[in-house]
Amino acid sequence: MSNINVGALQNNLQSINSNINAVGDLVSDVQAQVGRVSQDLASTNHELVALRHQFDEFVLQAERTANVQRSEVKLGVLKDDLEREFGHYGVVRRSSLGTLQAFDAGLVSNRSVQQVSEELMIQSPRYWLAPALVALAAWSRDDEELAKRAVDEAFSRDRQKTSLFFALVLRRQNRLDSATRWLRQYFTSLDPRALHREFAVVLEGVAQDAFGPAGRNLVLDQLSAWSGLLREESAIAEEQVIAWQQEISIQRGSVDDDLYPYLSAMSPQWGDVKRSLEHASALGFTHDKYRAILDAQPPASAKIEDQMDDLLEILITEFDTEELPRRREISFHEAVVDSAGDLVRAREAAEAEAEALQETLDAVSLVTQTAIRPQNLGISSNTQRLAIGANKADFVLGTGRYAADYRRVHRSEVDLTLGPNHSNYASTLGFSSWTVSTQLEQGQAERSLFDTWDAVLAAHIASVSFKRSTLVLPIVATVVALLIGLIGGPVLMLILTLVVGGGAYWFVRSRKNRADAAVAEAERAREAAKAVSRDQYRSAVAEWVDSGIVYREADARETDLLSLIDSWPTLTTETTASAA
Amino acid sequence: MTDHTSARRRTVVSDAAADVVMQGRSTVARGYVSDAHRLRNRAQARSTEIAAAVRRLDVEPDPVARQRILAWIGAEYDARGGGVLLGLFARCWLGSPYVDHVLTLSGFICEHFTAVDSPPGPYAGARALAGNDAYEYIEVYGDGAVIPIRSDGRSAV
Repeated sequence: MSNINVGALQNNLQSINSNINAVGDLVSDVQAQVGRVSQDLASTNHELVALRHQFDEFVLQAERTANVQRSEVKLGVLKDDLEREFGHYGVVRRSSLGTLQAFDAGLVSNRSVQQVSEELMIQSPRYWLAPALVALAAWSRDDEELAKRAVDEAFSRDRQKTSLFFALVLRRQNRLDSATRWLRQYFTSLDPRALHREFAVVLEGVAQDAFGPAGRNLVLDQLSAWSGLLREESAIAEEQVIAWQQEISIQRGSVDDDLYPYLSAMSPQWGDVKRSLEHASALGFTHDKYRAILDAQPPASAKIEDQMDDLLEILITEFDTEELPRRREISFHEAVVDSAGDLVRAREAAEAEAEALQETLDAVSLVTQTAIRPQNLGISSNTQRLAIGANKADFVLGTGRYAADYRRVHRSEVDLTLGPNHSNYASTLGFSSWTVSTQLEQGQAERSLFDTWDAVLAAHIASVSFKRSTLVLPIVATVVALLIGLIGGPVLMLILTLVVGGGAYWFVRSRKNRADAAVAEAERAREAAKAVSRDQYRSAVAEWVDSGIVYREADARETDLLSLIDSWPTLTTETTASAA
Repeated sequence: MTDHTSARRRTVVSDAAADVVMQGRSTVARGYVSDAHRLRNRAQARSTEIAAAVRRLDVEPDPVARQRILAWIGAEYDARGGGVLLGLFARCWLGSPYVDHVLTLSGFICEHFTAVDSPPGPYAGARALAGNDAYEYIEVYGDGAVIPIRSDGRSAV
């Protein structure tokens, strides 16, 4: 026993000691790095969530752009098709107008007109305008026989358009009586439940006073008789109100989530709030649109020939039924381009457009479509103004219903939620979630938020602080070493005790330091974490209040719109004004 | 501080007075009326006096005068022939904690609701509409129709 080389043992002990120290340093380095990694993980998580949002937005944007591109291509194809299939009608149309103007000026010989009209008759089968043109040519040559036959032919091809055409042509040549006779003939062939779209020309004529007083009275009497008959059925009256409702609905704007970043992120009812805002905005836009229509300057009244030419042009270019299916498709694709790829909005707009592009409409709906969608019927803003005046009651009801619909589901309070990832602090310190209603007073809400944070921090500190249980292992190891040493001899016991005891002491010490550091870190973060969450809550509440103000302002525009409609001139007020 | 206990305020007209008015109502002719006819009647504009009477009712302190106004409103609505009117729902101008109230014409009860109460059955959908400034009061009919009325007596829908 006394021969044991103490010096060598001591050297070995020292080297073991220094190795342990080195290991200890390495372990603390690793510890620090692990701490950094966990912090980086938390912020990576945060960034991942943000990236996910951006990606979803990008996908939506890409889809919409693709929709727009597809629609633009399709539009080009459809317009080409339309041109190809019905383009030759354009020649006939231009020739008829040209013929009439040539007669005025007396510059073209009868022979050439006859030749052109006969050629066109051959080139456009089934088209009613071609024999009508032949009739005009024969009329100018005083060839009564041919004129009669040509009129009969045109009449058999399309009775209504031919009657209207000759009514306008005769009016143009100042044969008022004959024109009125043709007009009456036109009306006898009409079914008020299924008027063809060229009836809009008659409305246009009335607005421009093109048929003279006899014709005007004929038209207005007929219209009011039809209106009274058709409105007996509540279904038709309902359809008009719904048409106005749809018109207002299409005018609504869209709200970008970026305008309310905190509210949109924190409120589970954000969708409803957004819908309320968007629907309320429609009232203001509708008011502005119809104000512009009311204030638009009527064009200077032209010579009767020019007026008639305009009407004739509308009649012969706008209304061929074979083109309508293509026109409906075109209007859908134009709506997609207008709404920047939002297919839902586009379909809504296209369905409303399709109303005016139907083959037949009843008399009341025709007047409504004249008021809402004049461009689809090819008429002027003057006629639109008249038609709106005729249907004021429907417009008022449509406005009231539209407003009541979104007001009924408006939320006067919403919930605000702070989730586990609302801030870096929240994710590192294990924040679960906190929900509050906007109805709760702000001071109370913030107190509740702070209480939640205190609970979270208490739980976190409890989980990271030094526990008595960590003492167990080192103590057991020291006791075992002592026992082994007792067996092995006093020197061995001394050595083992020193080694194991030192290691155990170091182990416990380092754990305690780490725990203390984590607790201190959490304490330092306490105020900052609370402040970050409280600021998010306050921003969300401020945005909620702003959205409430915006909603109320938009909602209040209903009064403006209603007073605009109430003050809209009706036919009677306009006639008395012009007579005065 | 809002009182969160549900404390509805009810004002009930005395039974004797109610009997007299109920007798008066029974003389109104109750023949068969078609749905379309009833809806057309309902769509007619109300006289401005009805709206004024509803406004007066809220602030009238005297119970006898209240009963008289309610009876008059009931008779007016009967004469319009627009169907069975359950009650009129409107915003309450009494202030906190009351938010809105309903005037039940069948029993001449005026019932007030606070912000945390949810109005019963047919009136539940009328709360959001009643809160809006554009409407004077909301008519609730026996067939489930909820019609907001503007201050000039025109129906909004």
